[in-house]
Amino acid sequence: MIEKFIETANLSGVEVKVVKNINFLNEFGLNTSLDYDSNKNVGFIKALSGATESASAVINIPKREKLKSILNSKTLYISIEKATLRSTLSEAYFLAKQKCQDEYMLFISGESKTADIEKTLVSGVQGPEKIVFLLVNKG
Amino acid sequence: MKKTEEEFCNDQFLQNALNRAEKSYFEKRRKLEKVFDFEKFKDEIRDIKEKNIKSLEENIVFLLNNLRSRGFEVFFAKYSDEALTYFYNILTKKGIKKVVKSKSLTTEEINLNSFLEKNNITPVETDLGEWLVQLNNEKATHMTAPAIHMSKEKILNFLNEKFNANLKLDIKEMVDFCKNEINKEFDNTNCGIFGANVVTRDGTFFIVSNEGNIQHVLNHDINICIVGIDKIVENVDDAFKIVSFLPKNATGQVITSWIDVFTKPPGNEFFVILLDNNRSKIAREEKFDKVLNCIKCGACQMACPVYTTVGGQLFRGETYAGPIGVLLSYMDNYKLMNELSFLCTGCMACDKVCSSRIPIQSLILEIKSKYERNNIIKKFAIKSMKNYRLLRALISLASPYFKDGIKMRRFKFLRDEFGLSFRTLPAINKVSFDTVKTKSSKIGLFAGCSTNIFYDDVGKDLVRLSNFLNIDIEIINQSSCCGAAALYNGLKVEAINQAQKTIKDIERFEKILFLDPHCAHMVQRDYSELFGIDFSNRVADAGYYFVELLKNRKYKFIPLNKVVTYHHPCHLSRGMNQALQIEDFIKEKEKKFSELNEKDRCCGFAGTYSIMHKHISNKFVQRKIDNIIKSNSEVVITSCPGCIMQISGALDVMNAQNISVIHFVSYLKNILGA
Ligand code: SF4
Ligand code: SF4
Repeated sequence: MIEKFIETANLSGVEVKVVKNINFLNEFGLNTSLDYDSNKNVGFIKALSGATESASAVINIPKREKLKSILNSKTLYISIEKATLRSTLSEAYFLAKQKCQDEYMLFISGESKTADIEKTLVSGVQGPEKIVFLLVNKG
Repeated sequence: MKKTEEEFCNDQFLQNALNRAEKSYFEKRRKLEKVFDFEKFKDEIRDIKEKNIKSLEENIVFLLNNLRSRGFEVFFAKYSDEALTYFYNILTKKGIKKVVKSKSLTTEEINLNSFLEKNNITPVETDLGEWLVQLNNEKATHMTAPAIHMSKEKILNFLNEKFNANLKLDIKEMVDFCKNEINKEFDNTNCGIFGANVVTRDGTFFIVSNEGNIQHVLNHDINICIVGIDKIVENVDDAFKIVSFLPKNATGQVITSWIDVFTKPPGNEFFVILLDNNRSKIAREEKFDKVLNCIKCGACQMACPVYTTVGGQLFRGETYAGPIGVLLSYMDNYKLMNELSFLCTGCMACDKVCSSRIPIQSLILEIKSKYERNNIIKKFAIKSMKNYRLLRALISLASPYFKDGIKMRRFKFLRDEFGLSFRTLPAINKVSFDTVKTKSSKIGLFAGCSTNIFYDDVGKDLVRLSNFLNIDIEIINQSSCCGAAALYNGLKVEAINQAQKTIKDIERFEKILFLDPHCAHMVQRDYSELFGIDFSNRVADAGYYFVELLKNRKYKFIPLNKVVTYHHPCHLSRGMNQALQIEDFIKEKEKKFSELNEKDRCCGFAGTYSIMHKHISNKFVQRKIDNIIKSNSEVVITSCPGCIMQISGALDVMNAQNISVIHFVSYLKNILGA
């Protein structure tokens, strides 16, 4: 599952790190005991599940502040527990729904970007300029 | 004043912008096609859409009930004016003077922006491309890339002018500037308007996006969503399949950066408008119901040579542009359907890429027959093809005057009018080729009008080849044209007449060979659609037939030993899937084979198209010739007399005598020494 996720993320040009925990994020001044946190440059968020078919993370949005925090982070780290990886978007969605009943789920698979001017890709439009997936493999 | 076809073809900024977009799209798409099975995806999407359009009424009822039971305000708008009134009522009731919008084709369809502006409510588009076209008072010209027609130079000029800025020609700098301007607007309203890509009938909405503007739009107190009823699917699995394939086919992306999936957006109030606007009527039409299978990926636009030549400002209806634009404009009762549909050359490049396998080209032919537009001369010419006795007499009469080809070097007006300024036409045969007497056989050759009128040398080569290979092939003495010319010019009744005569000529043969893939494809596909007669096992392109036959026989071939390339005719490659095998055969024989870039891109002949739309046709053939020159070829082989006529005619005008264009059958005859 992890290999497949990394392979697909590479196709989309998104960085993936396999980690044992996300404690290193504390060094950016982020509080990793929370569900999400951000400061001006960096943010992180814990995903409910992930889909390998598209290298996507599923995130629940219970309130508007969480959405704001995601959009305002220049670099956004998204942690996904290895055990929550599923093959398809659909399976990942149902797992997320089992874990929480929130009405709004956001699938993130890459940074905010546009190719609206002559198909030239520019990252960081109305959301994060960079996404890093942290696949948490506790071993 | 409206820009003309010629002006669009000569607009260098537009040409650059479209070329870069097309190139980038296909590069990305090709990479992805190596990893994902696009054909399997297309089958799945077609099946999902067909299933759901069949249950459209049931889906609507379910969705309405589900949303209402959850306490949302839902409105079913039969027509666009009802939807607009509903928007107006909500916005005025809430005292809203400005709204932010995310990109929504459905709001474009109902002309929401101009309606709101007329009613003193300011709509602000927040998708970068949409914002650019809105700012420049234009319409979006592509489904997923609204500003595709705008070159970076043009964008820079108007940004500097409008905002009194001093930006440089640097796309990153321009994007940063635009995003900051857009960003200012999110806090100026409490209402966000958006569409949805899919909605399940239990009321789960799916929106795909990349920029992050949609999440800002959703993050408002009042959320209004408008969605066409064709977007409703039975369940979440169906929805995920669609949003998973859509970006792959639309932009060559594995997936979009964001997919919003919600049963209620984050705002406090949620209003939903379900738009019909002729969708339920179309869903009941046997052929055109397939239009509703569209998932609005815009791939057909990127694949269409007409669209990528003149862009979506010319090749468009009221709202939508390109191939799908023709179909959706028909659904929308667009006034100028004849002009729009006749811009299509019939090349089927759209069919090949469509996410849900909509037979776009065939539906456009059907539309052409409803909005036929032909002048008297053209009608006479097409109708005369039904009476081959008359046609033969005309050939004999005209032949002495055009023994050196049709060049019209002296009469400028006629030359321009008939598209002879960019391409000459070949000499007319002395007699119609199909009068050649041959032994009776179970294998027949339907030579077709182009061979009968212009290319008897190709016909004669086939006879020599069959004699050499000891195969009896009977030249069919035609009573009529096969009907393709009539059908492609919207004269369906005439096409049926001609086809009925042709069926009598061909039905006794076990195998029917063709020198012109237009005729072969007409008999194979359209006869089946028109009369339910399945000729598919009996129809073959003559070249393909020989290639298959030679697999089991041993002959000595003497290759041309020149730089050789192969151009794939539209109807042979996409219509009959028989072009690749021919190319492989040539590759095997010719050491100096040089593969043609864009080998299956239409050459722009398409019968009378090259006269009616001479500027577009000229652009097509110039691009083909550019590719031929880049391949360094001395000989261009192809399998269609129409393509030979177009390419060699254009080379003739350019005086490029070092490149010859020949039919594959003639090539085969030559290398076999027949
Ligand atoms: S058949 Fe060819 S020209 Fe016609 S709409 Fe499709 S792609 Fe364009
Ligand atoms: S017609 Fe097909 S290719 Fe064109 S936009 Fe619709 S789904 Fe996409």
